[in-house]
Amino acid sequence: MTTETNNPTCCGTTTDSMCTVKRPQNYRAPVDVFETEAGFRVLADMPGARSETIEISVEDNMLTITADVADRYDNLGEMRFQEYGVGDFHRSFRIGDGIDADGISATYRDGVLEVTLPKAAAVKSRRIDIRTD
Amino acid sequence: MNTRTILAPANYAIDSIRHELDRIYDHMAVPGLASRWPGRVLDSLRPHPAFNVLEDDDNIFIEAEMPGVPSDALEISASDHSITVAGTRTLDAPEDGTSIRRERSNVRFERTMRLPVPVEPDGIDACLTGGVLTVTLPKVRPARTRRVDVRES
Repeated sequence: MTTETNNPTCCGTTTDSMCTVKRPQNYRAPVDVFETEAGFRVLADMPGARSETIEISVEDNMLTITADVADRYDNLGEMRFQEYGVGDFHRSFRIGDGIDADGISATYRDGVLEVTLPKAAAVKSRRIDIRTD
Repeated sequence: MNTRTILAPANYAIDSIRHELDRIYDHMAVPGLASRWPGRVLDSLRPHPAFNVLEDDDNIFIEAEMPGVPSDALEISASDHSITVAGTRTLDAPEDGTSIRRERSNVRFERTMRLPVPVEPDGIDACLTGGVLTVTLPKVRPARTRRVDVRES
């Protein structure tokens, strides 16, 4: 869970067809990651996404979150001054076997995606009482 | 009549330079933050937030990304020639959890932008959707002048 992979989607790769689509940028969403007794919480800033365009997948011990962000400037006239780009969001994390992939849940509010990853039963730390005879 | 204004570049240029300086400062002020990706600083909300500015015939639109900021934590004030967007992002960390990675920050932000054309402060509308703030500022309509032909009789 703690190992993050840099999965370049555009910059530096020449084979990726994403470089040629209308929005060449695919942004790395800033995240906070917390570990609790029950599992992990990942909070990712993905402003401008819609919940139905967010995808969370686990494959080969990789958690990948993506969000498609629609071009929202169609009805707002002409861009006069641009300080940030608008594009899709993407982030990947390596996770160990200790995650219960079927139990992953997520919410999206105020532009922040929150993914909850429960630990598999086997890795939850157990408190073992020491008996005294 | 086309009332579209070419936005005075000087205002925006100065604001942009200030924004860049603040951005550099923000960057230094948060140790360990270094974006390896062009065009985007890692934390999406900074003390001096980034704006995208658009314009059509009737309005100026100012857009800013405010992920994790509820509408009641935003304060927007405007006069006919400037707008201020301020607010606070308070992140909730789980009480029983340990932090493994922190790239987002609690931040108090504020930015004032001078507007190149006068707007109607009473008509300003602000909308927050999915962490994106869009402020619509209606331009002051120029007083209509009409040329009157003089009849000869």
